[in-house]
Amino acid sequence: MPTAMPQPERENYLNKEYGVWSWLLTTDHKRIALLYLVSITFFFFIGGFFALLIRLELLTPAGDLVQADTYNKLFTMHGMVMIFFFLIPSIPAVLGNFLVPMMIGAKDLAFPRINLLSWYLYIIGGVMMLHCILTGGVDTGWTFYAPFATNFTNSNFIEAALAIFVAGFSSILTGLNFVITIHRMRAPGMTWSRLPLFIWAHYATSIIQLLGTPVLAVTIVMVAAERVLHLGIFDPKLGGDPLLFQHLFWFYSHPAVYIMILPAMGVVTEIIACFSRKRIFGYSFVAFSSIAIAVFGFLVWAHHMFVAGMSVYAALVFSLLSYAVAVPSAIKVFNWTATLYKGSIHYDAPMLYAFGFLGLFTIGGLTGLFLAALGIDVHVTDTYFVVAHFHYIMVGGAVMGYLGGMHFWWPKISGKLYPEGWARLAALIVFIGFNLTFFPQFLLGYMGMPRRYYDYSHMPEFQVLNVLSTAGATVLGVGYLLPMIYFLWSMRYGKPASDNPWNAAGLEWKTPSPPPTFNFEEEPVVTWEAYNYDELDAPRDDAPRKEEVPVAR
Amino acid sequence: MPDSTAVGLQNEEQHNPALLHHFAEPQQQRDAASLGMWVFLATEVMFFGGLFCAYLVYRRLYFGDFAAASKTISMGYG
Repeated sequence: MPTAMPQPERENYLNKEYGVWSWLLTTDHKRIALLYLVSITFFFFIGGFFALLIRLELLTPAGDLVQADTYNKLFTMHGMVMIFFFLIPSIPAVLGNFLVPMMIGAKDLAFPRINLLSWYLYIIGGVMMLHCILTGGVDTGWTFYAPFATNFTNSNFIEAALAIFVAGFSSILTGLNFVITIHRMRAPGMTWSRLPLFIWAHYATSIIQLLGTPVLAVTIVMVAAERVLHLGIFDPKLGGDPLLFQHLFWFYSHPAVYIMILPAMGVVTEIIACFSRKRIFGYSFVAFSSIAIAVFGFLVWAHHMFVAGMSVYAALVFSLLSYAVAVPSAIKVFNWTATLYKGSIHYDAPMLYAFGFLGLFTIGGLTGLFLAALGIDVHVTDTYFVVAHFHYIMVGGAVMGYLGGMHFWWPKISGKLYPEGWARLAALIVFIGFNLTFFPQFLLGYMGMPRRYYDYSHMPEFQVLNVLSTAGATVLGVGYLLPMIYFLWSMRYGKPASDNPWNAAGLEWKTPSPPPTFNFEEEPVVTWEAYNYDELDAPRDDAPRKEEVPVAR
Repeated sequence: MPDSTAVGLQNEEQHNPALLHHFAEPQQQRDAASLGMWVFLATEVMFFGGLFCAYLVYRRLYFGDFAAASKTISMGYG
């Protein structure tokens, strides 16, 4: 292709400075987002590797690949790594860090150095977890219930617990940063009701991170103290209560699942609005439902303990509240669907992921209601039904949201376009692989296959569904590998992206792709409502465009 | 020191050395710092509140054991 005189590349956050230290000591929220991107992808591989081994073991009814203790370590490390080192940071630390300041018209987060500290805390926790894995791992389950974790496990539990403790503070500080940024650093004219719903979602997520994670931290301190000093907090022989552990643990870990899903909901909202070319239906409902999920999410923790020996009357109350917490999520699903109605739908890769999210999150959420019903829960608790339920939400929901968001904002982050054909193929492969992996698990659980069993030779009729599930996992793995390959490919060989390749609404699209270090040369003044797709799609040459932002080119 | 709250002046002309680059006004910076500290204190409440509550509950339930244990306390470690 004949080229004209090569243009010097505009200065942006990527080429402003070179060198390892300019990355490791950066306070630029966009660079920190990329540091997180590399780190969480690394841990995704580790967690995925453990998943592969689990599925390989379950191909045959006999426990013939690994020993029982090893299998316990496999599912424990899979859970701990995936939850604490991949899912909880993923969207907030990568997309949130990158986009929150830009979406509100700020130059950076409120506390850039704390942002960098958050990343270092994550890395320290991650290194500790890696060391724990390499020195034998933990076999307590990611839920590390007392008394097994405190008294009877022979594994290196304290190290894993401390790793999670440190990573928890990374999460708390990120939440702190977002809350203060959203409160204090919005550009003039960017009122709360003009904020993109991505920001509302991250605000709610940050509230949960701030209030919930300290309780996990204190639980870990108590468990470590119990294990090392035998204080008797959870040991009945010394006057303690093992159920106290479960209350403390789930008080954080239930809101934690909302930390994992709310940002994905924010991403999906942005994608659906853009690829339907319509303002989100029911903006205030979607905004307040995020806050409602954050509030109600703190009130339902004991639905993980229905069969643990707690009072039936308390179980009734928690069951009712668990039904209530599903309502705001349902409100969002209805609003997304209403946005699609009479929209001009474009089937680009981000939208395919958003469609996948809509269907899979709905199934995952509805099966959550199955589990909230006491009678059904007694039948399917600790079976593969529960495993399928949470994977539908965490993988079919959160990971699809993360991938959709990475595709949607990739041109902004890298300045390059990813190959659309491959991206659509990858989205399809992920969807097919996901359903093939996890739908059989609903059936397995309903029919009675327990979770965390490495040997099901007394139930050999379950092998067919397990083989289907493992086959699906392989397909899913291919689907995840493809974006990693073509994103890297696009950084070198991809077509350069324009500032707003999707013609999307939002302040972040008013900056160059990739953006300069300080995002905006002059502070934008916002005079238009969010999701102004009617203006974007039909600009009138005669009327002055309301959304001119003074940005240096 | 130039008046940094004057509206309309370029940042370079009245750049207060204490004003960090990503804030527009010193008051905004102060507000952000103080709100940040209060929110952090709220997280500390969640952190220590549970711990203190658990301690108080056990101390009340097993006051005899606590009293007996305090007779064997090591004055050096406290």
